[in-house]
Amino acid sequence: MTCQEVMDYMQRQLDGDLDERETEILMSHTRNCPDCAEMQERLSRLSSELENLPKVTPAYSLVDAIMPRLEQIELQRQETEPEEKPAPRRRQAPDRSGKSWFQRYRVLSGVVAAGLVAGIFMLTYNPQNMPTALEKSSAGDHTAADSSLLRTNVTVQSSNQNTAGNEEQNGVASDEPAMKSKTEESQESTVQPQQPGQSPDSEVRPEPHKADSGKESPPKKPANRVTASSPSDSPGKHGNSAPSEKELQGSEVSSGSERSGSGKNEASDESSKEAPDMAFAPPADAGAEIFNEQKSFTGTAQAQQAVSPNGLYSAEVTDKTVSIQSTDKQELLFRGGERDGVISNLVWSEDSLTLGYDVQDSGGDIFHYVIHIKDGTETKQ
Amino acid sequence: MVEPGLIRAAQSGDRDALITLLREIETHVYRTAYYIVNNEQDAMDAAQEALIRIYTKIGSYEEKAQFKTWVQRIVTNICIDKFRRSKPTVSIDEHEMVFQEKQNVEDEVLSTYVAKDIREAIDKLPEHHRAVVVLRYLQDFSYNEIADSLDLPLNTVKSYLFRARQQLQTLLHDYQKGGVRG
Repeated sequence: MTCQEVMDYMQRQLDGDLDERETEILMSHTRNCPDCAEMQERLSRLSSELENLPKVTPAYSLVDAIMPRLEQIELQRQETEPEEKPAPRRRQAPDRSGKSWFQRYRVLSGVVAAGLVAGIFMLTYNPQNMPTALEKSSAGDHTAADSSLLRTNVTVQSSNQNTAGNEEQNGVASDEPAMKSKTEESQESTVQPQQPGQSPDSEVRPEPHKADSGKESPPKKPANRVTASSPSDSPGKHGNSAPSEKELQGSEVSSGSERSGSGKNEASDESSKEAPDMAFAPPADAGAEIFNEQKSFTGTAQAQQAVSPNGLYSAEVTDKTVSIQSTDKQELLFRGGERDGVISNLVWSEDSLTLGYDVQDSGGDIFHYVIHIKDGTETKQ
Repeated sequence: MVEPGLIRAAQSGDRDALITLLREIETHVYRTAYYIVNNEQDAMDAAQEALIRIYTKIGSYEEKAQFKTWVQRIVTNICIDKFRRSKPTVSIDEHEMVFQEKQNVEDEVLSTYVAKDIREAIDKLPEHHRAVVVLRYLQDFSYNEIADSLDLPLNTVKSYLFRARQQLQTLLHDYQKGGVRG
């Protein structure tokens, strides 16, 4: 037996992997081979030192440290199952991680934006008033957003006997039916002066965000109009003499977004209207309740669809483009460029971060595109 | 050893069970991360990420695998994929089977390697060799358990472990000769 072969035995001996016969072979070799005996000595010393390496423990509880993120994961999961009531623990442990807030901002922004557009429309709808109202609304975008935000908060508070603080609303808000009916009530009675504390929070930037959606602007207003004057609209709403334009915007905003929830038929309109608005990030706190209003935006044209492995995104082919929506809230997260050809093979990556698809053009050539959901880019491969 | 009942409860949606389970394994997860990334902060980050992944993926664990190897697979993957640093590692072949010259045996017996030297030596190993050593010595895993955790063939595990030990032995011997440890 060569020293090289014995080496293998030595190694295995360290792991208790030798049977008796092999042990005997090893022993008899090392008795007569000082080099191997010494190697064996060293290796076994190394091995016992490895065994005695400090059993390090974390400096603080890792589970405690990740709790906020786990809460956030739970929250997102619950959002994907609309019928499930939110767990009370959401209230106990508000999420603090930046990511989670970001998610909420995006949703909030959608509603604020939708409300804003609805509000502007309502203002401008008055034919006599058209030019001035337009002027005013662009000048007063901030206030419009402010009041829509405010309105949402007020709504929730009223459904919660006015006891909820901002954080708590997150938990309460998802009580959808209650909220719905209260919303209606609050449309009548809501109008409250703008709370000073609210406004710094509510410094949304509607302008850039309008610019984002600029492409869709012209059709957007008519679309909104349909929504706003859908059957559930109580007559006389327009006739309501609002205390101020600001207030009017606000109440229209909240009724607008609520109504869009009931107007399932307009859902695809709604979602495409919502979508580009997600790009900007308005403030916190009002975010969660908005989720619930948004949930009802359902129903998009069923074309080729692919839901991501993590269940968060749904990709589909519409009008020669691939768009990606969040499955829970139906918000458009990404819309790809228009492809001149047949789009097929929507395939998500395992980590749900990228979506690949093929485009076959009229010449029969197939091109592969990849969408990176995180940074919203699309690359041709 | 995590109770199978606890795992099943966690899988069936018992969130408290899942949290309890995470608490039971967090030290093991951290320990592996610590010795693979050789840095406390990165180890904390990697271990937290691993725990979150376990939290979200608990439903995908299947009982045909051992829970501990499933856990270690997650943490080693994270350490290797995300906390890979570009740092010099030794080529594992270059020292193959070099027998050291004789030394005064008494000297060697008296001197023990300090843990820090060993950690530094482990850190010089290529990633998978390092992971094998960590699972073998910090998690007390068998060859088979290591193979399951790292998704490597059994023979590869043995070969990595043997070469890693050989390499460590050489590195530590060099330290000693160089008087590094004073």
